[in-house]
Amino acid sequence: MKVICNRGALQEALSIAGTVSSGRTPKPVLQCVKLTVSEDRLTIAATDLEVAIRYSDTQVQVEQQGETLVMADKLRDIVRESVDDTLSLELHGDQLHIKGQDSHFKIFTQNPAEFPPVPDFEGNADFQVQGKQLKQLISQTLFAAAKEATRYAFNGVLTTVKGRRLIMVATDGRRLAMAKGDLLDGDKAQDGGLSIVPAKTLNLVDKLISNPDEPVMIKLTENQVIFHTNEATLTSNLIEGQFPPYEDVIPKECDRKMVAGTADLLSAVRRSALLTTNDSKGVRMTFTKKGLTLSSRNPDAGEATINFACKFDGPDVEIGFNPMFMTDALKVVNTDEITFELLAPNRPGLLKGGPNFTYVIMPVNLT
Amino acid sequence: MDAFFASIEQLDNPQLRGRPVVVGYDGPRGVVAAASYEARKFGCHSAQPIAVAKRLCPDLLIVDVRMERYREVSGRMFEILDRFSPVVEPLSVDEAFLDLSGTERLQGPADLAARRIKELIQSELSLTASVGVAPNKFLAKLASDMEKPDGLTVIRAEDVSRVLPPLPVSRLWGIGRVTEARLEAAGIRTIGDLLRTPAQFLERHLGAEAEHYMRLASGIDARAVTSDREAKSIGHEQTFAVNVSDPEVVRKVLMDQVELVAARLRRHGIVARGLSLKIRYGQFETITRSTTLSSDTHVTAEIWQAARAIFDAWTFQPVRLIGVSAERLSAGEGQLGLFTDPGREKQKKLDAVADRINDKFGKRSIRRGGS
Repeated sequence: MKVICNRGALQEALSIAGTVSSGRTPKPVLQCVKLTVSEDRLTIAATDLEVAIRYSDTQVQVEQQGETLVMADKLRDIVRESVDDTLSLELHGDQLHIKGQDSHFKIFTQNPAEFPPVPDFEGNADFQVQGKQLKQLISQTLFAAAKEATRYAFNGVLTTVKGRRLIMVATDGRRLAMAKGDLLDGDKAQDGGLSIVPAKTLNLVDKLISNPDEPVMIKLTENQVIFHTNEATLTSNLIEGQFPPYEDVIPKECDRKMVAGTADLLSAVRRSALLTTNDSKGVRMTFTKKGLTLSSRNPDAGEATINFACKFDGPDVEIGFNPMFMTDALKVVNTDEITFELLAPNRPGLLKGGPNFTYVIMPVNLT
Repeated sequence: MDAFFASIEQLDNPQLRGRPVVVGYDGPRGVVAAASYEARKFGCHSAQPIAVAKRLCPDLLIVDVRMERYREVSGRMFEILDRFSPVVEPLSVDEAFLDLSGTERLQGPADLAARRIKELIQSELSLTASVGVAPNKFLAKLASDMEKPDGLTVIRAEDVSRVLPPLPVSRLWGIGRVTEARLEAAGIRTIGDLLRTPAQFLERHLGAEAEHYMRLASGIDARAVTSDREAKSIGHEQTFAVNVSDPEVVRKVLMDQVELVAARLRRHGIVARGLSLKIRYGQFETITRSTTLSSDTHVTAEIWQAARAIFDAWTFQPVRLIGVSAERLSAGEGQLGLFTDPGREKQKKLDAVADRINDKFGKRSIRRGGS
């Protein structure tokens, strides 16, 4: 095996594969990446048995085909620290030689046959989504997923196809984000089942989409999802478990409604949050005909009041919200204006940015 | 409280009154958990092997430990203390600090409140307590020990330079037998000796702690009284008289402790994020294992689940001490949830009922069976 690589492209490929191969695994072979040199490309494969990736690097000059297995972090560090424009990778016996102009590394390799199989994308996609559309759906939902919840369904994003549209929903049990996007034209996708894609997988998909216009092919099976981009194929196990009945918690009929500029409201909430305490992260929001007053108090530091002019219809109401939950959503809304609908101080608020972004947020008890 | 366990035994069993009694396990490896004042006259004291106590006092009466009964009385004692200050810091099952600052308008000067506490303990519990009144925790504890039993000692700021110097250095908090011996070798026996010792010389014997002891010796102690509400952790632990070799017995004790800890969290309206278990076994080896709870909680079942997981993961060996402590406490964020978890709601209801019964009929009236 011998191949000459553009160092920048190789570094990119290794850093993406490196997020899959885990340093902390009981199986040493999983700390490795498998390198396969074929006719026109170098393919880098990594897996942690939950998520597997094949990444193709075509900015290479193939001298001799072959394959090998090396420690992911060692190879990545060498490529990152090297100063050359190109590096040559050559396999001699059980050592991989990495040569730059003034450097020569030899690293031990392992038997590539011991590496678990990393599937390629085969057959037809269930549906396709434009790169930037998928990136937007991910950014509008992933933040609301839980980090390490014991209800496993909260650690992923519900992904489903309905009426020729792709719908993603995430919740941590206290707020819920739902985004809808279009499938690519000509796609004959059927309404699909409910799949919960792990947050880690979607983070990686987001990184893999290098060109906003490229189509991303997606295939959903009963327990796996496969994403295919220009460079990579990513296969991931789905999260087993029951996603909560999210449609039931989206308020249907609210009698109070605010309309506000997204950027202005974001600024107001951010400022009101400056004097909240670690214990009670709630900001008091008072909605009246005159607009919205946001106030917070920190017994050790002081207090803040922001008078925010906006349109509000309905009876006055005073309600507490975690300001971070508000700003999280306002940062990813892609409309200039949002609506925020309310019922009562102990009932969820409903924030909408156009027809495609819906966000439900539970209040904080004010004491 | 004065000879707390022994006094309760004498209270419950009139035949023990006026006689030398120790509480403990009467076996080859038994240890005295508490000695009545009658027994103390013979040199019996807590932590002493039962065999030694028997030798010192041939007429000694030995009764088994009844921890549940002591806890029940302890709970009633704390209920009395709670009437006097919102800030009560439990030090052990029968000792506590009260911050009485700011309560003068309600109940008069601190020494009057102290007298009233003693009276209530006498009239409601038929037990005696020794109380110390002082400007800080160190001096208050010192004062409470000065006229045991049934004492009431007041140390005012102006008394410090008179009261402290004649006392042995071992009365300073943190000076144990080893340090005491080291100081004595250097000719320092009393707190007065210590105060007269140049700082540099003292540092050679006490290291970095020298300044701390110097401050205590001068009657200075800046630590605040912290109640459960502000505490960093809430825990219970129990030392067994011998190594307990039945895992089920230890598990049962642990479950009791979890119930007590969870009830205390609920009583103060706080939740815990972390949990740790302390296990002492074999030749006094001690391990501490911690875990993060799945969410901020004061639900008994959830805390028990975490505690049980740690305990079951540990390869059992005969246990000398078991303890559990709830950590990373907070007032709860008041954040409401989108989805109700029916299982959790049920557990919360169960806890509320158990708390009400225990409040009404005394601690430990109701508790969990095994699980």
